[in-house]
Amino acid sequence: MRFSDTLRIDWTRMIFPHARRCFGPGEGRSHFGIAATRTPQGYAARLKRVVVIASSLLLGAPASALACAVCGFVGTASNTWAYQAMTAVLSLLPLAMIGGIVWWLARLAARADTAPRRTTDRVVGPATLRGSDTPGFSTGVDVAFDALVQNTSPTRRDPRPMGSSVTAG
Amino acid sequence: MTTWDQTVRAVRPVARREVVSSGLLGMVIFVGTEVMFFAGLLSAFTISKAGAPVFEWNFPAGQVLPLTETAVNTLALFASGALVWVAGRQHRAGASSATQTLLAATLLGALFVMLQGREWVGLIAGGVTLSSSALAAFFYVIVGTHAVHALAALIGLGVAWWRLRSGRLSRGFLLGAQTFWFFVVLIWPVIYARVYF
Repeated sequence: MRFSDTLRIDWTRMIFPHARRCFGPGEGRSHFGIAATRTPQGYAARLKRVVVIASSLLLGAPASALACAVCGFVGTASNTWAYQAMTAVLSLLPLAMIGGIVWWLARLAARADTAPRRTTDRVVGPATLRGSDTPGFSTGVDVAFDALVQNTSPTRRDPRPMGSSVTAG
Repeated sequence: MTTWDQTVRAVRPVARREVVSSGLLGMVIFVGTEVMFFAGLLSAFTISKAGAPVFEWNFPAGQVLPLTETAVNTLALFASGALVWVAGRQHRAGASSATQTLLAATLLGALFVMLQGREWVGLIAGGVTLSSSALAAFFYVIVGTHAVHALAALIGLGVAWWRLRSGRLSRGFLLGAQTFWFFVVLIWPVIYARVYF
């Protein structure tokens, strides 16, 4: 057979009936010469075939999952390890950062809830949230450093002596 | 006439306090995207290095990266980051010495960038260019990108120093500049460990 002959073959009519046999609507009607039945058992059998074929493909050709834009040297063990490690890093890093930001904000909010009300505190609306004082990166180390520099904590704005009762407002 | 505060007070009887400025939160989120950017670059570098033959993963003409000199640069960068942190604490405490500390931190950061530039000049003079090899391409892209970020952060620190000197520095601006500089300082050891070794 010459190559030009292959162009005249209706490949869809040769291949498609077999595909419909596996993935089609099931037995019960005649289409492309395939008898089918539309019964629950037919759908279950079709689903089972799909699962078996897909599982076989995934088990038989796992190397295709390593295809990526930078894997010009796919095939070595160290490259495979690096690919999987970097996939884990790139997957977990954003989650860790988002979790860290949420934890940081929750800690600041909890600290603000337990801190004593200042006389300068006021009810703020969405349009007036800008420009007020903020604890920022205050940590235990920061507070210790402040105490070292000026023998008192600048983050403590309550004029009452240390140890007095602190209530959330 | 009902004012805005009165209206809000009626709707929300419990007072709310701002726990973090919008500028600082925006900078933190921006730094998060920058971390992912560098993670992508280092990921490509790691995978390519792991799969490349050893004899192909080097610079041309026997050139090697100056590990010792770069380690000294790294120390200067760490010192700069520590001084920026101290300057922030001094500014919060109202100490006038914050101006000198911030200037010293900025100069140390500039020294790091200049020494890295000197390293680049030596490599380019030795024939190492962007198209020399895969390692050279990765080196110039990753380290060069970090240098661009360092320059941007230095500009931010310089503006903060100028405003602090003239008494116009806001707390939010300093926190934003600090955050970006801390990112530049802390991402460098990762780059140094991955690319130089």
